[in-house]
Amino acid sequence: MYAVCLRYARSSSDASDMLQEGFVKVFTKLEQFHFQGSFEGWIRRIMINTALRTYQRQRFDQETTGYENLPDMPVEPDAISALSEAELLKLIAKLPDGYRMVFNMVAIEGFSHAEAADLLGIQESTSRSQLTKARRWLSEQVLLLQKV
Amino acid sequence: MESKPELDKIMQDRLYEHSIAPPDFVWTNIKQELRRKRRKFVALWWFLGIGLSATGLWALTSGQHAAGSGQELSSQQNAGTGHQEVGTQQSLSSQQSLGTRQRAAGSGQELSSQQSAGTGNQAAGTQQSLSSQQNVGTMQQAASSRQELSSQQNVGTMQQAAGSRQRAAGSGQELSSQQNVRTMQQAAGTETEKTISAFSALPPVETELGGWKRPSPQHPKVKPIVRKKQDSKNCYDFEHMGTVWWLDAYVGPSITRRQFSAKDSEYDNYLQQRLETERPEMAFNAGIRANMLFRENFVVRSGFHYDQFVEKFEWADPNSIEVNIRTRTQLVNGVWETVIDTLSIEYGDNYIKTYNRFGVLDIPLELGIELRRGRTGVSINGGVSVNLLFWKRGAILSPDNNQPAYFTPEEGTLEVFKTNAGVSINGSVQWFYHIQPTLRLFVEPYYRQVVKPLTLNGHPVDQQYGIGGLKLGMTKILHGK
Repeated sequence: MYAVCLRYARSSSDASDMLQEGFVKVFTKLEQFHFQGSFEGWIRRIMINTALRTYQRQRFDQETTGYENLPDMPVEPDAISALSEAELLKLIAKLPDGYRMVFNMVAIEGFSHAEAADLLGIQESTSRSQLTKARRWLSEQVLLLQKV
Repeated sequence: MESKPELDKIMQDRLYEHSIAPPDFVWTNIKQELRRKRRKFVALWWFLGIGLSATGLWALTSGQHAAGSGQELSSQQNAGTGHQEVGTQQSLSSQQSLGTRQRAAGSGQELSSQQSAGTGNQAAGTQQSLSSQQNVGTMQQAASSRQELSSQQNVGTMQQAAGSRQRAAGSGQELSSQQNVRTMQQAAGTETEKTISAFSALPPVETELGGWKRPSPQHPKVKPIVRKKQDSKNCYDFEHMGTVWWLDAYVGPSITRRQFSAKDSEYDNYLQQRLETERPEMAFNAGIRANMLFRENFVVRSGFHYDQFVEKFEWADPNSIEVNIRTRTQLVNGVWETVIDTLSIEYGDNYIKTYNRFGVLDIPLELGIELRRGRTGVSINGGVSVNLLFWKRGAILSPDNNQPAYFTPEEGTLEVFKTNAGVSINGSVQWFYHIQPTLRLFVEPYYRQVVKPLTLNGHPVDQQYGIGGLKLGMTKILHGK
């Protein structure tokens, strides 16, 4: 679950806080788990909700992305495969909050845009556009790393 | 474009199941947090338990006090009769008393005699129907039966005793009434009934004393001791004042209970966003009211009540783009023209937080039932409020574009709320305490439900409000007639 929190958090300290808050919820709301479905999935959902709430609570800093300058070229899958999980997590952590949330929920967790938009309190179209921007941003970063 | 889903897939494959051990301190923190929550929970129960115990103790203490008062009242009339007996017992000259006791001691029955006399006092003190004459007679019976009087000496003793009691009855007046009553109260013990039944089983005194008849005692006129009910210095005499008027002033915290409902299912998403972006906050209430007490326990209340409730509106658009264009004017071919100097585009979050404030000034009309005990009491009230003024200021998401919009009554802002809140239904329970006869402090939890939605009919979401709070105030009793 720490890895899940790391994906949603800006930093490892934020992830630790999320994990702590999430597990406190897990232990205090344990009676609400009715043994229907996966226990791990239930905990994962709590962690994601905790992360989203943290994200919604925080006042976001001005996040300039400059995505209009991003290259349009596709990224080679090998370039990504060459990166370790830790490096991938670092890349995701660098994403602006909005992008990171949508990317995690839609691309990795498998939520639909409608579900993500509902949970984040944004419009579905916003969710789509943020995912696109997140992908472009990540592609650029992967290319940069490849060049290095 | 194909690489994008590929990116997602790779990321998902690599990261979905990926696990990392968290730092050790996280588990320690979780343990501490859980322990803290548990302590908080336990502390809450302790607090509740102590509160209930204190309330119970208070109720018990006040109940005992009330029982004590009742006992005093019932023995007030007895005190007039018992007074003589007690006075007699206490004002017997030591010589006579000693003489009687010495003689009784000679027959080894002093103790029983004294006990009988003492118990006789108890009986006389608690039985209103027993006259002082009967008491004296009973005393004689008791004395004679215990000592089995057969000689003139004993009769003389009894006469002496009876006489001395009569004499002493006169001097009993000198005793302070407090002392007498206290003695009677002490005498009103549990053995009273038993003793009376024992006395009634004894043979008539004439038979035992061989035809001797007790002279009819000449009771001096003793003023009956009428012990007034112990008035609490700090309690107003409501019972004898008929209609009583008083004024209340109060202030306290409150919070709203909102009920939102979309008029159409197409606005469900908008409703959801509204619920996510708005949250009720603590607010306050204040008011003054006039109260009229009639028929001792019924109160009519009316005045001015003000409720201000607050909602926090918080919204962030993580996809905000702000374009700034700076222009300058320059001379071009002899003509001043405005040209673009710099153009900057900022991407980032647009974050808005406002505290939406709503003020409701009402005239309530309530009917209450007031129950009092000593200095304190409770009243249960219910009624209606009619709105005089409803003001509001703040921002919510617009149903048109889901963007924040202000709904202040200024021109060009969003029209969401009605100009008048209409009628509300109120209910409250008040606990009061007299710190002076005409001054009370009170705590009054209340709840009011605004009957109709505060939003305009054209707004896609109906917003109904209930307001709960605490009135902490002071009452000044004006006068009664």
